[in-house]
Amino acid sequence: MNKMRYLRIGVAAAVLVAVFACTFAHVPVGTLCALCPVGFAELTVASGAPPWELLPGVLVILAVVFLLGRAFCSWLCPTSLLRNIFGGRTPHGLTGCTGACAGCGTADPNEERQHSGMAAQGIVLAVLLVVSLIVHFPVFCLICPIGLAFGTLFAVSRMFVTWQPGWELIVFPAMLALELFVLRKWCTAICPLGFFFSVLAKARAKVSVLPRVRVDERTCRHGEGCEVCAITCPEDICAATANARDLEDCTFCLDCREHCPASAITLGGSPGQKGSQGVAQEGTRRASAR
Amino acid sequence: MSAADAGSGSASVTRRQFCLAGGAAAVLVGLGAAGCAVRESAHAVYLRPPGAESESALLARCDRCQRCVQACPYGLVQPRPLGLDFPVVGTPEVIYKHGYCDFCMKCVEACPTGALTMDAPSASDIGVAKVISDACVAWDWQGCTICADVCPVEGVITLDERGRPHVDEAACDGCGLCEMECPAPSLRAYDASAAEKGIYVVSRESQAAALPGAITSDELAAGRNVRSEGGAL
Repeated sequence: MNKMRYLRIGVAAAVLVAVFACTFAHVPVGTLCALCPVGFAELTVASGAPPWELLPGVLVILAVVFLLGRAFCSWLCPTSLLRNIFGGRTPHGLTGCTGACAGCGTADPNEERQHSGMAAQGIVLAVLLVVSLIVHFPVFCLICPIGLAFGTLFAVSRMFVTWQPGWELIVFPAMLALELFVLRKWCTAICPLGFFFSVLAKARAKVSVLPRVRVDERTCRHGEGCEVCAITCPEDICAATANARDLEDCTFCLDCREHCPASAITLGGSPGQKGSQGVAQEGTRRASAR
Repeated sequence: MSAADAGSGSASVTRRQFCLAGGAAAVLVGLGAAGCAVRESAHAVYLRPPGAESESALLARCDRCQRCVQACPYGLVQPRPLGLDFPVVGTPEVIYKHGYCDFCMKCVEACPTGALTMDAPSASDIGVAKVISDACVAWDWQGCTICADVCPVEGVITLDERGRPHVDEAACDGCGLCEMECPAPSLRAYDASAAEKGIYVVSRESQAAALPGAITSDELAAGRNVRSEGGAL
């Protein structure tokens, strides 16, 4: 029962707990902000010189996303942690999957799903860099949900030292709630970190040996009307009919793999098969659209 | 999601994404402008960890990763709380409540962005201690010599003929031991208008630091976090 979701909650929460514990143990591991490519770019334009010491961490995150896909988004990002706990998306909630995706009930659920908005994220990134350049401080850090989540954590640890609770104990969680549960498209339309990940997802789609979600067409029951993978997917991807573009948005939460009634979904790279599969499905999609 | 949204397909989806991105961009522009206005009007300055080049350089370079906060073995380095000066929220400041700085430099070593560096003059000079004349016990009565006794730098805090402490401001490195040990709150009757401690370390960039000699509680409150125009250095 939602084993994967509890595992994701555990992993993302473990990161927060580890950072919190390191604060009291005085081990300077830093927050995820120390690995942030957006932060690296912001500091570069705000201060006029690249913070080279940040670069190794940034490259590690980018390499991990290239090799493992956007797993960062569903496994490490505190945003997904909150969504996994509080059920930011209709079928999700701690108690189970009881919803429908945008395209459920149609021949190809992927027809109706929204691709992640790389261009929209790019606009946010461009604007935040221009603003940071002009005002000489990293402006996105003030509203970044990852920063707000860690900010709340450190507001708590600060309270243990000064015994004066700060306003951020109320304001940061409120901003997080607004960004995650009111502006529900934050991740796909706004997150500038997502822009970097989208670029990498496009690049890794061309390397067929890298792992991605695969459907065994011999056992898949999509032909009989099964849409479990699309219903469970937080990105509305129907794995059975997904083409390469759809799979770029996959965050490797592995809910589809867990819930597939036919156990037809596996994770892996298979050279050669990828391209033809994508083309074939593009063809069937056009045919079904007519 | 309404039927209209679902029916119109990916074009409306993209349009909605661009509207959201445009909204976020507008918020960022607004935050940047408001942040600039706050900085220009408030001239805010804070007691930063050792190694901060200047207030503006630290703000441009700090990504609030909190490594300096974690590194400090004494819990002195803490993130700025949220206030009207919101651009600095989460950036490090030094609080001498439960400890003092021995310049172990772990915060500087932990800083991955260069916001704190060994090369900066403040690496060996966090700030300057100011005696608060209406809160200091020795200022009203003789007897208390704690700050002069504990000060680790020979001759920085001296007592005058009436037993009042004076700080050699050029030699003080702002370690905060005097502020931490000051017993004024336990020796005085509570007075809301007076500062809690009789001696405070303030940033050398602040107005409070620019005032000569001992200052009053009002001058501390008004000038502690305000940049002095000329700069005290």
